[in-house]
Amino acid sequence: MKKIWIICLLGLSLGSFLAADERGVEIMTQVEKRLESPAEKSDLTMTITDRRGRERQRELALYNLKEGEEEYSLMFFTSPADVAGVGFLTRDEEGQESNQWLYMASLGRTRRIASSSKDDSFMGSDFSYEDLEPRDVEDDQHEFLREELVDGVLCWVVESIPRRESSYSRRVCWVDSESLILRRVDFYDHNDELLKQLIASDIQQIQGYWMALAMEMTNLQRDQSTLLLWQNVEFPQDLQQDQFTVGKLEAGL
Amino acid sequence: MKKIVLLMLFSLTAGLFAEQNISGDFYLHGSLGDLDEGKWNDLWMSFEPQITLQQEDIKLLASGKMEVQQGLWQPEFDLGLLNLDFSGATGRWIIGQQEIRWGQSLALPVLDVICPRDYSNLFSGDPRESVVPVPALSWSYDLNWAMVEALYIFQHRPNVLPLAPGDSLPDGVEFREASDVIQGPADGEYGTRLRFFLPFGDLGLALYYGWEDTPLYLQRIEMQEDNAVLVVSEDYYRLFLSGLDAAIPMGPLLFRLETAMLWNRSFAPSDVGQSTLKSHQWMGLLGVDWMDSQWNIVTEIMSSYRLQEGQYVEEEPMQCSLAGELAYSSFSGLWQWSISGLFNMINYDWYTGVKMSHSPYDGLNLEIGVGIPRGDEDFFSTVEEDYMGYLNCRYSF
Repeated sequence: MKKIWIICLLGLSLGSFLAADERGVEIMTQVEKRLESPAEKSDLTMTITDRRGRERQRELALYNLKEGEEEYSLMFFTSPADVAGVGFLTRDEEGQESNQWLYMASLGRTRRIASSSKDDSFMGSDFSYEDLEPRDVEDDQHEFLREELVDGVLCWVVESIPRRESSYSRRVCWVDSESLILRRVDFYDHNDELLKQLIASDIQQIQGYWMALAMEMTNLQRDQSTLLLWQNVEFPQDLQQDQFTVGKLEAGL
Repeated sequence: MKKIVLLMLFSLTAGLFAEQNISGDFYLHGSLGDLDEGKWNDLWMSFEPQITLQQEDIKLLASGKMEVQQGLWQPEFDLGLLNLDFSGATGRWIIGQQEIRWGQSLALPVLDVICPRDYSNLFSGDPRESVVPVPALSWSYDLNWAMVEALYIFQHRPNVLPLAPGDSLPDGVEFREASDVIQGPADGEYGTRLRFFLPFGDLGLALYYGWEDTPLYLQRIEMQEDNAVLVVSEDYYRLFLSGLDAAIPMGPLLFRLETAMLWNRSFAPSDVGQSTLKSHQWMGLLGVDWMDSQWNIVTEIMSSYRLQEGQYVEEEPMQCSLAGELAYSSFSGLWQWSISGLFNMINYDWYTGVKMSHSPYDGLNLEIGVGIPRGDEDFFSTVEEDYMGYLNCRYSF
């Protein structure tokens, strides 16, 4: 009888685990397939605040393009004046490592960036290059944890454990059930300590596409945060792959 | 020629630009030349405005430097950049005074020979100060994974050297300055480059037919009114370079390679009365970098040999230098520290520089540094007494 109970319990827990796992994958697949504009142009303000409350503000012009599995991004610093003109190009082409170039305006030189630098901080902010990279559903093992209200909005809480090398041991995501935007993400380090927390706000529908116009990443271990604010968001139809080149990076805005 | 270019630029831009962006720099520089005596022996202040006018794909860029030097309180104005930059279906065109940078080297140039250098500002702590813009027409065409570039330089600019060559000659020696090497369009400098941006790395092929930026000095004895006079004449010679460069990321490292052949290059003779020596020269550079958001480590080794019909003229390399930089930046550039060095492995001359910069507010950058050149034989020996300490203040708006 004891054996039967154990088998029943194992069966039940395995069944609920699989169900949670499937639901987690289903939610993250919806997030991945969320209706997004293939092309985007926007202005971004990045404010970095350190533990002593000192602030640094950077303004950037951003161009993004998604063509099937391929993604392209071009960004230029527009302010402050001493970094204006610095540009950054990323080309994520199918079956290849992400290729990145940095244009140093003061030297008039373009520098290829080594790919593993993606684990590092993006422009001194609390976002790493990995945080800015899109993740495929298959990159992680997902598990649905619970439903929770965040600012009065129903969110699905999903835990994602990376299957490939990552700077995090796991992520816990609060997915907005209406817009499918990640309202909050908790990032855990390899000691399973909470390392960073991302909070998305000012969620709006622009030309039919949902967007979070404010994102704040807090590094809880370093007590430092970075706030990103999007403005002048446009979805241009004429943005082409051939505009994401080193030539365009060097020509500037 | 210069006036024609200026007139062309102004007539092209007159009434063209509706939207204007104005930015500028205010740059204050001072240097302490001799630490033993502990006095300011060289102080100057410079104002460097830069203006950009832009309408869609057309850009006009102008910059200059107004400099007031201690003991010489009359301001001098140097035109820096003045060019019209146009991007369209035919590619990107830039006409006017511009900075052209080639290759992958960050400290020891092999392919980066287009623009001359201002060696009087080499240790000022700001790399922008050392490149001298040249009047040119340049064109580039983007092919998504490749880029074709071509350029024509219509006025030769030599390197700015810390000592005027005629100054240090003893009495009785006659010095003859070089005349302008570009007399007509065919005398100009030409260059072309093909760059590939491939998944495993960047590759570049380069060809350049120009003029040396540093003159050669020939000595000969001339009879003048029954007297034998030693004449030192200054001349610039043609330079024909072909080369290739590569930047290959491997894990956390970036490998940079440059190689160049300088065909039939002219070298100064050692004896009075001899004409220039001619031989091919090979130059090669290997650089390895590691960079994250706070640390930047750059290392480079460069070597060159003189060749003659495939044989080494000299068993020892003509030039072999090692350069490196270690830099750290805290909190988006609030504080930056760096230490850099250059070591000539042939005659053991060296240079080392340490600097610290602080940016208390966005746009304001304060920098203090020490540059110590030491040498007996090469360029460092000529500037050994100078450029010991400097203080820079830059405000960008």
